[in-house]
Amino acid sequence: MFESHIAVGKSLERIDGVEKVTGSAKYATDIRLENMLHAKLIRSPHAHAKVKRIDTSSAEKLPGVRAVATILEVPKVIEYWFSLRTEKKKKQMFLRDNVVRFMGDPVLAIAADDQQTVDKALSLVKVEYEPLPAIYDPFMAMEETDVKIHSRGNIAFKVNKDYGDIQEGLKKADIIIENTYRTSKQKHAALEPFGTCVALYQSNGKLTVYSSTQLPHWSRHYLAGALDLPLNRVRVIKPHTGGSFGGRCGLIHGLEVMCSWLSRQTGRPVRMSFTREEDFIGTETRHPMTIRMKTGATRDGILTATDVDIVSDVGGYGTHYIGVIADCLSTGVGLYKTPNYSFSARAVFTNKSPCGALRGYGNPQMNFAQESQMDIIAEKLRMDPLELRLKNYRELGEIDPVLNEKILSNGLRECLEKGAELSGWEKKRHQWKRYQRSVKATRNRGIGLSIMLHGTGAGKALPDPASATVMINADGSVNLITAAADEGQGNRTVLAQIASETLGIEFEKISVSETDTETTPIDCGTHGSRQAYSGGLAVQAAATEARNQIFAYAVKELGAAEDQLRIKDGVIFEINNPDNKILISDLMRKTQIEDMNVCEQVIGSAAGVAPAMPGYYGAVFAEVEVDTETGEVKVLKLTNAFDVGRAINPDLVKGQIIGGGVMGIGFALTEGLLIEDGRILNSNFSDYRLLRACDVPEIVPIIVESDEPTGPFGAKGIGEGCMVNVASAISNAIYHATGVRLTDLCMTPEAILKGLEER
Amino acid sequence: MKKGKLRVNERRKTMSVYFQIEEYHRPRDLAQAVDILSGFGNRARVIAGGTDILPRRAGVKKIDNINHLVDISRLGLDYLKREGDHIFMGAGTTINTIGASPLFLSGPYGALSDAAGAHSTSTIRNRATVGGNLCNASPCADLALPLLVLDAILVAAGPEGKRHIPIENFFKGVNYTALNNEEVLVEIRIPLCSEKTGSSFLKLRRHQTAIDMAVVNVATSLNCRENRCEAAGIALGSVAPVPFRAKKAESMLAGAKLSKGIIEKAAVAAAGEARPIDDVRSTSAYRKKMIAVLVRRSLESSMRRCGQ
Ligand SMILES: Cc1cc2nc3c(=O)[nH]c(=O)nc-3n(C[C@H](O)[C@H](O)[C@H](O)COP(=O)(O)OP(=O)(O)OC[C@H]3O[C@@H](n4cnc5c(N)ncnc54)[C@H](O)[C@@H]3O)c2cc1C
Repeated sequence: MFESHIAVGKSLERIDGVEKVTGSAKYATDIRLENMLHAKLIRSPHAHAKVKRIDTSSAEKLPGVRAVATILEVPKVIEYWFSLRTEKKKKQMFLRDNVVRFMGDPVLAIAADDQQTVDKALSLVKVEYEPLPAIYDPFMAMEETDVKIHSRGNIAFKVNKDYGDIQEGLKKADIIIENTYRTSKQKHAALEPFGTCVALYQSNGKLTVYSSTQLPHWSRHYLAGALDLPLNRVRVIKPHTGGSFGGRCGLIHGLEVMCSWLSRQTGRPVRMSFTREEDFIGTETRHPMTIRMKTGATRDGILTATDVDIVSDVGGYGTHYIGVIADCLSTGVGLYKTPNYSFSARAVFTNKSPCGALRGYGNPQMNFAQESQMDIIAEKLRMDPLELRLKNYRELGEIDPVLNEKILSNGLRECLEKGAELSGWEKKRHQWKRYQRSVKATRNRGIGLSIMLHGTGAGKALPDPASATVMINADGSVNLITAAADEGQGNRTVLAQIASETLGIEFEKISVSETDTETTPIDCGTHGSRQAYSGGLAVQAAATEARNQIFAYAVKELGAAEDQLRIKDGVIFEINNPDNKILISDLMRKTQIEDMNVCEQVIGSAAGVAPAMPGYYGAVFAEVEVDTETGEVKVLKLTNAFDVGRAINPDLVKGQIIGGGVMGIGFALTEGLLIEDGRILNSNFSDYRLLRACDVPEIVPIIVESDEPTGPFGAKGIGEGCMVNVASAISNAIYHATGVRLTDLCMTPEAILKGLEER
Repeated sequence: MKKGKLRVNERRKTMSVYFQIEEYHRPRDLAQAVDILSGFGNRARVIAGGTDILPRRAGVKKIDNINHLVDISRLGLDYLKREGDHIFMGAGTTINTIGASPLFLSGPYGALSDAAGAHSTSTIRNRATVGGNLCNASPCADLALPLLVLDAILVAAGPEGKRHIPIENFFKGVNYTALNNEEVLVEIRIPLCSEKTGSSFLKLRRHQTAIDMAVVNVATSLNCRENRCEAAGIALGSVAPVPFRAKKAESMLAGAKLSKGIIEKAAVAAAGEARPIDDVRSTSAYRKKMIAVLVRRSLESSMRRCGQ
């Protein structure tokens, strides 16, 4: 497929690997500035209340207390970057009022010389609340119009979309399946808690914020808006980050804006760092959804209609609530060529912690419903679930009706075939079933599958810029300047590989800039599985531009035509006369320094938006063992095949597939916040269950490469999709093992046992 | 600095929420430990592995007023030996030491190595001690159950010397035991059982993650002669304020000929003796059902281990 591979397709060592394993990499929590103040929040003990009075007089008398900031003056950010497009919308992004909307909602923050003084000061603050009726159930929130969580009402967003004619479609169906699915309030649970920030407002009117944001440039916009500063007076620096999974897709509720406000009042750097418990109770989660889905198919297993109604629980504040629903739509409609699709959804405020982006956006919820439905249809039609998928998935060359984009690469069939082969699908499907019928066993095994589609980037739905600059130095080394935020997945390494491959300069000679809005051109950030694709395209274009400039000099130097020149391992040579050559380093020194008439550096830059939102695909084969007396489920093995277009760095892709598998098992079986009367009951890792290393089964990652024509070297995404369809595959496997169909996540032993008893 | 005391300096105090204490004591002998405990009354607590007391101090379920910790790691309480008609276990023995000991591999004591293996994860088990597990008196303490069916005797040391407490009288309530403030649990004695005894332990976690606390945990022991049960022990955890023996169920088995039917009946009876609650981990209805399943499975396994 490619003629040269000096960097692309190789599992090169990540550029920050040594720093990280030796402990020298600096994370937000490591940052200490001179004269730094410490700040902490007071959070609301009520799920819904008006703040009547805040008395900080005794706290302010305490020596060492430097500043107080309350929600009465500090705005909250309640929308995402779509709203930056117009001044009018932008104004609505910021909310300043005296209402707290969930238990844990910040009320005020105090900054003092040290943490102990802060704690003491906080204990002296008196806040008077007027409790308001609280609503935790989105269905009640839609009915209960007397209680308004936001002034515009409790329905944050509403949409209806129709493709084809749903009634016609249902008429054509021989079977119609209808079920309601519910998904949980999953938490990101990143290793580095959300959030830590240090903000410094200097007397020259400039604000610098250290924050682990996924979106440094949009965060700069949000801060500038909230503090009414010009963009060039706000600098966001993103240090190394211990995982984000979508939860840092913007600013953290109550963190950066508060800190900056306190710093502006004092002129001193202010640090605030949430505890893990604050992360659990006060920062964004996945949107829990109730999805009613009606699916129709012919006797031959051809889908004729899908009718979906979604109620998405936004919590007390929304940021990504529209995008998440748009994602349900695009992935739901996009995956299968169902001719008649009716989609309606409502995003509803409740008095619970806010929801936002979490790996997969709305897709894991939607996929759970859709892929459960497919399994039921296959069962009813006595058809192999794999065959049903092959009959209906939207193939190469077809038009995706939501994005109105032609599918230019699709490796789903190969994902299914390879996964089936490596997991032993056919054999296990039959043998295990027979075994369950023949013996009254208490440990039943099952195997299930599911597929998924996820878009790369968001260019069709949101402003989604990417840019990069490539500078060639006089010694032939390269600086790659990019704002691509690496959350730990390794995308800066991937971008360096793309630069290296494009330039023909060794990977070791590429160095990647710090992620700092002051020194990098705008980038939408790391979200939507986009960085290798969108960021990669920008880097590829910038590097191509630089390479063209190098060639222009080389043409003069070597006296050969440009189409006769090649670069390999840092040497430019004439293809038919390899002795006519020059080291890039010699050429660059010459043009930059030696030749005083030139003194020019090769700088290639590119900016813009990716031409498409290519879908990437995946198939998961899950094997489980269910204890039919206790309902316990053990995942024995996952075989996960994903079409990533082209794996720029195969080990990093495998890392994503395995990590996504682990997160998917958590979503399926163990995770989710439990809430009683607005209070989160499991705000720590002994009650919120993540899989430990010893709980993780064998996960077999399979990389499929379909060569996306619009992507850099054929690449598209992987980051989110690899967790999307794990839960549905596990649920389908549980059904195969037991005949119990579960519709609620997470699937607890108790629910499985109940299902077994009702069987 | 006084001998045997480590003073926490000011800096340390401000650094971590875990150690907001006035003093951390590390006595060199038992008498000194008891002295310190007597001196500070209910403001002092023993710290062994610290895997219960430190997370609780950190605020998950805060214990107030304690600002003296008395470290017992220098008191020579980490030992395991078989002598005369007892196995002697120091209260400071770690869970991993118990899990790895050949003493508990055979039939009669199998429940102990099962429980040690089911307790948390290896990293925690390297620090967590059996004494801490008992003295913390959680309803779901794993080691309590095998020790209950093995009729262990607990040896406590206080200002008046030592006293013996049968384990059945030890647990008084959630996080509340028969020990006085100034007492240290020093030893656990397990009477040797006849070769014809088998015991086992089972635990059900809410989710299948290794570190999950029990939703239900049980230990059973059976002493049988040619399929006739001479004595039975059934201990239940997580289904009442304290771990306890299901005496009615036990009496159904004692003297009976062991069969699938009687085991099933005893298991159901054991479930009837429990008073589980609904909590974050599970509902009481599910817990009740699971007791019956686990007790049955455990009894079957104990039966297989008889005479091993
Ligand atoms: C992540 C995690 C997982 C866990 N999983 C499990 C599990 O699966 N099963 C389980 O049973 N437990 C579990 N625990 C709880 C804990 O590990 C155990 O109860 C452990 O055995 C306690 O021992 P320790 O030595 O660490 O006790 P410590 O924390 O040192 O002490 C616990 C209590 O006992 C008192 N104490 C300790 N030793 C003595 C003594 N000799 N005399 C008098 N008082 C004493 C202390 O004052 C304190 O009140 C877990 C804990 C954590 C943090």
